[in-house]
Amino acid sequence: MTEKLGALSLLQVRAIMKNTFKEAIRSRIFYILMAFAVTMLGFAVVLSFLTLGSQKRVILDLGLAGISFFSVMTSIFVGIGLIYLEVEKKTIYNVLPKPMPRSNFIIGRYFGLMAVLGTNLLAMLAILSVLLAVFKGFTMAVFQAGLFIYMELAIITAIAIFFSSVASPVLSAICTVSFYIIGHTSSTFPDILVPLLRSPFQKKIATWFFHLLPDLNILNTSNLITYDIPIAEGFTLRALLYTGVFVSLLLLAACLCFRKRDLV
Amino acid sequence: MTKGRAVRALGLAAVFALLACAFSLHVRMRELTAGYPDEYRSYYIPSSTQAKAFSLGYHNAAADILFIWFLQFYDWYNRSVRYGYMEHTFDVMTDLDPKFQEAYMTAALFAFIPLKYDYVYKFLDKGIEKNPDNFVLPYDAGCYAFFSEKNFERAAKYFKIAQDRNPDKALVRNLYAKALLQKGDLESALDYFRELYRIYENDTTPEGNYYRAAAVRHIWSTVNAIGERDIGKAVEDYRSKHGKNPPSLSAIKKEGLLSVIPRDPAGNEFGYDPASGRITCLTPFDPKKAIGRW
Amino acid sequence: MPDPAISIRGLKKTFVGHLSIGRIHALRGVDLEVPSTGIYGFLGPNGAGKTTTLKIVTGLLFPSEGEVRIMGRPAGDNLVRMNLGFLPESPYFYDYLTGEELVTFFGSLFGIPGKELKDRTRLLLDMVGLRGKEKLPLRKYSKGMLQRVGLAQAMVNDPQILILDEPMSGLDPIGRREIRDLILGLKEKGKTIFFSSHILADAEMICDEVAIIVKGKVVQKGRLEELLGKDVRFWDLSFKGPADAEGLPSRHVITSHEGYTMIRLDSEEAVEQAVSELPKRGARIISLVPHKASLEELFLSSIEEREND
Repeated sequence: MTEKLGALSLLQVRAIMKNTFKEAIRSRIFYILMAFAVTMLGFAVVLSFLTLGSQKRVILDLGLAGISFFSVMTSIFVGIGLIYLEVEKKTIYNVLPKPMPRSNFIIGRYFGLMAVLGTNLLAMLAILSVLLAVFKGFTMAVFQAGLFIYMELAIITAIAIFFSSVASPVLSAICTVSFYIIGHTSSTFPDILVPLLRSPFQKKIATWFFHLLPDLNILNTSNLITYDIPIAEGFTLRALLYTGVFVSLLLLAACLCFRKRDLV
Repeated sequence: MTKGRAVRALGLAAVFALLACAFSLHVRMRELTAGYPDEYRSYYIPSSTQAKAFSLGYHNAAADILFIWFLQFYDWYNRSVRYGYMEHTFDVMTDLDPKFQEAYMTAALFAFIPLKYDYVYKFLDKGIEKNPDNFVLPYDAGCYAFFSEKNFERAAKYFKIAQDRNPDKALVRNLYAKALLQKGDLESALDYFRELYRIYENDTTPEGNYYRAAAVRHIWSTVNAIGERDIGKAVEDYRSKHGKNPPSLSAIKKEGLLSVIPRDPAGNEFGYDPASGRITCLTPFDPKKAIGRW
Repeated sequence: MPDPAISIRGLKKTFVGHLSIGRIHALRGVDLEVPSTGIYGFLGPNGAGKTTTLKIVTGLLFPSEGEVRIMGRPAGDNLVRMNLGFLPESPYFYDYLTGEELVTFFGSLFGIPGKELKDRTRLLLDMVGLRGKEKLPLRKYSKGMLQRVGLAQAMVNDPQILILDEPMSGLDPIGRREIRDLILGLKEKGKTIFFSSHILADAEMICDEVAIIVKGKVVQKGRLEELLGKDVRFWDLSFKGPADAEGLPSRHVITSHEGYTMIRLDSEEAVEQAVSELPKRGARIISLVPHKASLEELFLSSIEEREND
């Protein structure tokens, strides 16, 4: 009977994923953000006419940055409501009394949103590819950059869902956006903050601490693609593991926080 | 019913009135600020490290945007603070994306317009240093030195870097040799022209034809120049010793001032005029002869 | 004797406000046992703790003290939940789904295979009277329709125990009767139904057993007929004729109007006496209605009792 429940868990996670996917593609915010991203791509093309030299470079740089930015926005603004709104709208009252651990609900919601973001990302990358092809600058590396953007999204969504399981959307949004900014600026930590410290011991501690900070910049490979610089050997695998570690950590924390929470 | 419509009409009118107010206020405010001196617009661009942090990792995209802004800003030729922030903006831009070739070249171009050569070379030097494989930037710097500043020593230095980074570019090799020639290093120049000739010896493409012909012409003139220089020096020495020009070229050899009398590119003797002490190449320019000899 | 379907012992729940400021004692020790057959009504005024109790039973809240066992296992156990159906108070559903999709979604959480689930979804939606509306998105459903689709999803796993929180609130009389009939139908199939309500008339009609909760404490519980008693408490007798109460066993005249009079009698002897006496005076007896204690009276007296504590 226990193993039957184990197999059931997979079915449940899949069902919740599917439902989350439906929720997103039937909601308005998803299309609004999508429209923004497409506008951003169009803007990149317009801006590219203002530059001197290679136009495709501007389209590539701004296009990838725009795709990444709007995907992150989608991830944050959908993610922060993922658990909280279910409680707030009381829809969760029907779901949790089913024979299912609460963690399945969180995991299902998480992967549901990741499926949405993946679809979204592929669609935008396809548009970018077409634009680049028009300007004769198409490269398969765009999709490689897409993979790394997806890794970043995985971490951001996990953060959003973690906050969503403990806090209100406004607070979650603030925290998640802060996390995003910290994640993207932490790579400048050794350049800006460490030199401020005097003693070598402090510097060492600060450097250790630095390695524990989430680093989203290291997952940003868009800058390499402009110059066809290959990604370091063994980097992709480690990046995937790094993402996996953070996602597991955050989902675990979310499940633990949510496990015994009273749903008033 | 009519009351509801009246309220809606009133509301709509209020919305438009407020929009109109905002519009006219803004127009007036723009007019008022138009009289300010240009300098007051303190365009603030953060330091490179800050800019890197602010761009949240999208360094290239940030560099692009800054570059596009840079183009629009410095394109406005009557701006009084035109060159005020250029160096800083350039620095941030190229710190964000050190491989941004267009940024280096455009900044150099903008510095060249008021002929600020030190800035031109400073901007390009940064690019040359940050991009050890790039030959376009040193070539660009060499061109400024060669064609505009006429500083052939500097031009030779840059062309040498470009040459070393891309030995296959005939354009660079040709200009490097020309810079050496202008600088007075005739033997090295000759070596490069010969090399260029050898590369294109059997190349019948338009490019090959061009560089071969150019090489031949330069070899011809360089050999002549070497002869003129060497013989001229010997004539000078003879004159300081005897108080008059040597009567013939063989007299120089007899004196021991030259072990071998240089010959013209065709292998014939130079014509010598004892009155002026000048020599001239008597053979008319003939590529075939030059090739046979050299 | 079989395990009770649901047994609640010493259940207490205290809600603590933010930063531990303010405490609300929602439940102050609830004890009750829901037998494995029949309909159990869980009654009480608004805010008495009905919903809190049901949420603890279904695992949405966690008790501060005490325990809840369902079919002998702790609440929240997944094996138990396989056999549990729950309809929350005025249910909210994913309004972007259609009725059919919703029931299918909840069915898939039980791992019911596709074909079977499809058939069952259709059957359930027919059963709750939503035939023809299954393709409509839920945001276009009325409150009554939502209640029905909620009932359908609660039954998707064919549960042994159904927990319904205020299943009839907010419905029109017709809707209430339909839900009532549905519940009675389920009882006939041998299911246990545990429902909360503050509408006593409905409860009185269908419940086998009730518990009354006031301010977080159960004040009355047991079989309905035991609680209310078999005995008639008084009779109302109406007659036509001279409205002279002289010589009658009760002077308690309720109404007297245009020759019709109604009097209240409080013992069998008095009835006998009145029935024999009245025709002699030329009065004609029109009706004699016996009155038992009503749930409403029980309810109100319970609340009073508790409030006087």
